[in-house]
Amino acid sequence: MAEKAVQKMESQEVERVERTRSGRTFLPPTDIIETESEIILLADMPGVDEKTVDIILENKLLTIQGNVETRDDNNLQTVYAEFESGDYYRAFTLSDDIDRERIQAKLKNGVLKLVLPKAETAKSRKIAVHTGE
Amino acid sequence: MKIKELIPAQWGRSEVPVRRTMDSSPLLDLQRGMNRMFDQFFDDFTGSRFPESARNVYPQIDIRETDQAVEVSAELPGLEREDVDISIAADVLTIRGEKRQEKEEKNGGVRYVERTYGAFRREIPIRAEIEVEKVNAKMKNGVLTVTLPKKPESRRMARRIEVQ
Repeated sequence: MAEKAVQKMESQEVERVERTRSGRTFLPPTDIIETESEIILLADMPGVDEKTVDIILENKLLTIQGNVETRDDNNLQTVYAEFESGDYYRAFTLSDDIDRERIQAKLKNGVLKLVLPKAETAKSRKIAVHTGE
Repeated sequence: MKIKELIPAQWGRSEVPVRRTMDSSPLLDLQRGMNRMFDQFFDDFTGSRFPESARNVYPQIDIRETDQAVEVSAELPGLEREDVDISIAADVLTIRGEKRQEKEEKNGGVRYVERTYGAFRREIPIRAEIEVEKVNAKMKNGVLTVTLPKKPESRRMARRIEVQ
């Protein structure tokens, strides 16, 4: 396992929007993979299911938001804590090259997978070179 | 399309709707910034609730307790039930597993990586005596919760003491 901070990062962006829920908000760690035909986003959002995630595309801004149910029940007392649960929020700016109509989202085991297909015009095309005879 | 364009909206050019009524005063902004700085500083200083030594251990765990049971939870996004191996021996709970990259991720081209991958193993000492046969584990939305019921004799009886 690579030596890197695994502590959740708190979102700073969220202070810029008004919120109706209290509690902390974290930035989901996200992998971005670009292939020839699409861009895949994978975001770790443990505790979020398909009902509590919101994905909003407004103009160029893609916003991912996930709400986590707080687990404060049955008089459990915290004796040791390394992570805190909280909501997730992250925003990405998209370019015009994404085919917005075909964006797909899937959530499984707390990982959100967003597939952003590239628009036809943005795909790289290989141009065949013929001999000039 | 460049990968750079997908990197989170930057401070300056964010299109997130911003509340700009009372807060537009630069003094207020400065004060808020200072407050946040101090908060962060003192969080580090007093260690808050997170032990410094555990900051880079994966997975991060929380332990909670009632007088009936101990509950250990860990955030393991992307793992299936089968990927996690949990065992208990005497007073040590071991969580083992491996987070693999998904198929689509392997044949990808350019990538920007923030998530953590790889094999992990964590041993967690449990203070109470546990009924080993009754331990159960649940995996839901990437959060693992292990419930370890305490042995009756180990339950801390809170006894009320009369003041004479």
